[in-house]
Amino acid sequence: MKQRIAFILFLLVSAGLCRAVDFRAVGPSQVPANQPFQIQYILDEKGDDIQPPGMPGFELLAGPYTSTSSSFSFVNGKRTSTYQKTFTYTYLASKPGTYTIGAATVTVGGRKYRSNGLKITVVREEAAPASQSSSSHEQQQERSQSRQQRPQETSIFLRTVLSKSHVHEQEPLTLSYKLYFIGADNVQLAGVTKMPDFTGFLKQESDNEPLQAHIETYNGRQYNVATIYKVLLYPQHSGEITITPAQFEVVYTIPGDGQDPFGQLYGYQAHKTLKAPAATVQVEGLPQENRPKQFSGGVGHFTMTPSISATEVSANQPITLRLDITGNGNMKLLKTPEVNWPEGFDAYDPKVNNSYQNTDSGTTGTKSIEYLAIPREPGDYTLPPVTLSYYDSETNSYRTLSTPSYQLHIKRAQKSQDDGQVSDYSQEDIRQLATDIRYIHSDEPQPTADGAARESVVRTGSLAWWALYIIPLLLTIVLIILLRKYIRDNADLTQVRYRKANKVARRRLKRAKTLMETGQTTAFYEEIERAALSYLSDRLTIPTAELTKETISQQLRGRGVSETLILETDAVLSEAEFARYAPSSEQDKQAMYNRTEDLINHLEAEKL
Amino acid sequence: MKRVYTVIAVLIAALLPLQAQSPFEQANTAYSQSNYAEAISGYEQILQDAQARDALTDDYAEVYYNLGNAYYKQGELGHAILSYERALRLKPRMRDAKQNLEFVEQRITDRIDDTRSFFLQDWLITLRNNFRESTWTWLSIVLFWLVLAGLLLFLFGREAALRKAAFHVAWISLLLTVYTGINAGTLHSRDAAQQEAIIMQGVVNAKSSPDQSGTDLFQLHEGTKVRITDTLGDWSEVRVAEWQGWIETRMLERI
Repeated sequence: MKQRIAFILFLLVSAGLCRAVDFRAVGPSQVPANQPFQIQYILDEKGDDIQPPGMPGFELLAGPYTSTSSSFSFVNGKRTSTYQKTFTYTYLASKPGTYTIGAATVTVGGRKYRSNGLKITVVREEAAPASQSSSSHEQQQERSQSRQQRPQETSIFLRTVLSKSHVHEQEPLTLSYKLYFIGADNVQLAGVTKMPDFTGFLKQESDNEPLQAHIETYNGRQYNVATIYKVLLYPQHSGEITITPAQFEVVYTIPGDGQDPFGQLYGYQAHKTLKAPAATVQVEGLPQENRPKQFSGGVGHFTMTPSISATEVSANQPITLRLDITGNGNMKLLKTPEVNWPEGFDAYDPKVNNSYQNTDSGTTGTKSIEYLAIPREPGDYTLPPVTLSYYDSETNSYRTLSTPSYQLHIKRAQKSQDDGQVSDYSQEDIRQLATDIRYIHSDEPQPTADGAARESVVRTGSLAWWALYIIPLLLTIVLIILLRKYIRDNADLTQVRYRKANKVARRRLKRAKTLMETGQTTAFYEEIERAALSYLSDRLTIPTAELTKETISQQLRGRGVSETLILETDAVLSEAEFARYAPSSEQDKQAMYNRTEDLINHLEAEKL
Repeated sequence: MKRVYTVIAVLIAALLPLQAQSPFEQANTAYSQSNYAEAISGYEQILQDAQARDALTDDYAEVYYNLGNAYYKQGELGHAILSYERALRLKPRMRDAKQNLEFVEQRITDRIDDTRSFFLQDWLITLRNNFRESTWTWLSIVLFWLVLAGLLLFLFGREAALRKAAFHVAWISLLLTVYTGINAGTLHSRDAAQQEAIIMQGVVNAKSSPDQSGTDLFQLHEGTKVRITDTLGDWSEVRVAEWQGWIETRMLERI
């Protein structure tokens, strides 16, 4: 912050200049005693007349060597070059201790600029850190050490730098190809021979402002460093992803070394193919558990601001729902959240407006989505919440952003006065929108007694089951036997009476004869009638209760008896009944007796 | 006085919602709040209690039905199907349970097409499965009584027309008695012997013999209904349509 304020102040002071001049001193903070080391003054403008500060306790071995360089940044195919002028001094300290070195001054366009000061600790030779022996640059290092007297030893190489080597799926990382060089001027990128295809990644060229060349200490040496290519990568699958090596062509000038009598005075052009090593990224998949169903694929950190144009409109008036998704992450891959407009709304494809930048930490900015829908039917509707689920790389968990649910009141469309047409009415079948299970029931089971389930069922093969078949069967069998016996018995009785009918009738007639002789008229007729009736009853198997002249005639007719005999039977019965109460002579009685006897004889002959 | 009653009535009405909810209502509330895991444990507890008291009457079909819904919402299709099947054992004509069972069965992996069955057989099986065992048992018993009554009327009826009718009633009833009796017996062997089971494991390989070294014959997935034809140790021989093989019993749950 302080720096920034200082910078602003500096800007104000140098209002006359079109841009600020950067002049700074770079040097090691710790050097071993009796070992040469370099201090560089870097200027980003063309300038001269450098005045190094007084350096008591240091011996100037060489310098100032002036070198200029251009660095390049490729951004969206646009090449930007920056200029840099470096003044290099080589010193040697003999006494250990801490030294403060003042500012150097330089003149740029007639104006003097001061650099920053430096603090250098000189340590004893033995305590100096052993020179690192790192893999690929060992040779160069050794060579440079063996020829320490030649500080401008040319060294130029590429490094592949990953911002992170262990990331989550969809979590951005930056890959940069950095050009390290020392002892070379006018370094220029001549071409790209080979570029990795970045399989397994989604690639976003970085929108960053062109990076300037700067000084970096690498393996104990100070290099000019320029980032020649930078890209934002979003891993698309989990696992180990290898980025294949890249190849660049560079041309540069090796400055002339005035001290070497056989060397060239003005330097010479060099051309070199540089290879950036392959790199490996470990990608961890997003956790499966708790993954929301409507996971949008977004990874990063986002906020969502919803706004709706209106919640109360007339039918056929559009409603716009706008979602502003702001944040940092893989914005490009963020799925557009789905809005489930209620039935009766015509929804249109959402309009997406992206305004974001690709920075080192990922894509940052805002994605604005506008959903347009036109309600067709008046009524009250609920617009369900629109949700956006993403993986929050800050908290390492899934998060779901949600809009509120909106209550939409759609008024009946205003009909214009002169619109006399009757609008079309159309009937629609019930439309199936989705299928789901039917909802749970709320009828609670009645509290049941213990063992209620067992008692309510007659199980096949159980005792009760057998009983329900066998008891009725036995009952029926018994009933059949009893009924048969009863019928047989009944049948026997009538048989007996049938067989004895004639005999009984004769006996009654004999008794009637006795009564006739003793002159008991009433009893005589009674006996005559009974004889006839009992005979008919037994022979025709008519119960006494049903014994009437009509039934008798009917039964006789049914058995094919001649009509004269039926009439005769009827007449005898009527006369016997009638004569009981009327006075009659001896001859009448005799005649009645004979008539009855004849009738029975005739009926007997009929074999009823 | 009237006012006092009104006040009391209002008070009671106000207090009613504060009454402790029954376990069933609690589980329903959990379900309506999408808290399915809690709903499942609630329903299971109710059913366990009823089973322990031997009081699992038809009414509990509703509990099984709700349990099936909760399992479905949790994505446990095997358990959901099992619960619906159990609900239908108690109330074979419960429409919602049938509907949901059909719905969930469309979401399982295995589709069973028994090519051997023909429409009349299907119709008879559907008819049989539409009623409980006890219904068929009682029908069979009552029809048998009708046979006996018809026999008596035929033997001792006075009028010829009556005797003729009784004779027809008797022989038709006798046929129906046998049919309903067979249905009752089939359902009895299915329910009491628990011959039908649902696959609970995601994927199961049916083997040719009841041990791990057996040849894999075919593959079944969660939710498929199988018929257990034999058991040996920890293994069950199952039949699905024309397929038959051995599966570890722990992969199954009997209905």
